[in-house]
Amino acid sequence: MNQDSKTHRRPVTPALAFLAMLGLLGGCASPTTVADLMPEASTSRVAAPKMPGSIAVRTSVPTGTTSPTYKTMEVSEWIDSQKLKQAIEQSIARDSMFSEVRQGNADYLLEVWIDKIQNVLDIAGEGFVFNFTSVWRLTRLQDGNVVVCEFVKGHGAARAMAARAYPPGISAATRTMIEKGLVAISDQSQSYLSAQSTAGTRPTIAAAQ
Amino acid sequence: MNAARCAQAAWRSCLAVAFLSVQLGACAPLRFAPYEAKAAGAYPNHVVKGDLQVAAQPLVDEQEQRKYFGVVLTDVGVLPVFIVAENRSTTRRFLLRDDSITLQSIGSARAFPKAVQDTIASDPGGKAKHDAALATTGAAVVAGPIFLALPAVLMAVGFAKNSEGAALIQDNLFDKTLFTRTVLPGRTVSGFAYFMVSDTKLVQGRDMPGSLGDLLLRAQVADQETAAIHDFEFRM
Repeated sequence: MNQDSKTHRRPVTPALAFLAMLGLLGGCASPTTVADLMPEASTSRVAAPKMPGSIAVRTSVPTGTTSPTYKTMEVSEWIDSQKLKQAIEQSIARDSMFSEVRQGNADYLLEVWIDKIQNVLDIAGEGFVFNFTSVWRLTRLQDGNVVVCEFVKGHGAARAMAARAYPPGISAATRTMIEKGLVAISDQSQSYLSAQSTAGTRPTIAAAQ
Repeated sequence: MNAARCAQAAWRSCLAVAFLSVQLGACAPLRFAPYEAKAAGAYPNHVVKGDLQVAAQPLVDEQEQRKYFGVVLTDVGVLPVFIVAENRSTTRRFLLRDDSITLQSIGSARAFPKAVQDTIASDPGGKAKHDAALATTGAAVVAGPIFLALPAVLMAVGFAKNSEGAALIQDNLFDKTLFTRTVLPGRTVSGFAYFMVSDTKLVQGRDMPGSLGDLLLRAQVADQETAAIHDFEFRM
């Protein structure tokens, strides 16, 4: 009986080991932290003249990838509206871009919609790639004037097995997007209104409860 | 025995190649050629005003449209116009707003709409739709809330509205669009504006109403220091 069990168990063992290995490789994607999503501190932004007044931030992030994409997947473990909001708020505060970051009434309202989260598997190149397309709209609330309304893209890639590529790829895409978005709202040398004619009149994002 | 082993090895190789081909095929996104801008003065249809030089060139060649867009837009009445704005000043900055680029019929003075829209802004229930659409991980949207209003166009040329191919084409058209830009000193900006001129194939004759020769493109460029507006006009 024991002998029989052993003979039956033997061929199953490698398969189980293989499945366990796949599970380890594919299912161990760790969640991201807000710090993972923040770009490096920028000396040029810190040195630039501070925007007069306070700012409030609202964000809208899809729960999964958008078409066209290589893999349809949920992304909320790595990026969601709350994490993005905090990453932007903390970056603005760290780089002293506005006099204050507020949760309620403020002089400026920054709204960020991530419209697209797409991934591509580039075997011969960067690996597992994430591309974000977002709209950043900065409104001066005193007169309702849209100061910035810009399409901002993010790009991140990671070379790792299966789901292990998701956190670093999504984090990198978020960091590059926030970096470019912060340039758009702080750079006074030119206008950032690429999305104005198409997204300038979007309904305001509701404040988080 | 050796022959059997060889056949087995060959079969395995074939399987491996087939597997790799399928994987790479699935992974490699549909790519479109980038449209390289020439200097504004190199286009026959260019106008110089002070420090600014602007050119406008309709892209009507079917092969070129397939190469750069993946579809023949003029077959379904959409005219892509490539616009280049060159700032020759060393100090002045100009703002080229996309909503100040317009196309109209010379004969009837009818203005043609652009093929770009925002589903959130244009739909009264847009916010809910936005969230709902995004929550479905893309199945219900073509290419995100901002897209070129071309699903009907793409369907007419053989793409299902929500297909991956249609979404890739939409993405590419979006990436090649000329949106509002500041033309910095010594710099050039360029991109396409897409106009919905007709419900049917675009006529390329010169004198008929609704034909290419009946179309006039206008672009307004603002000097950011003086707020002076420079008007540019181009007969297509």
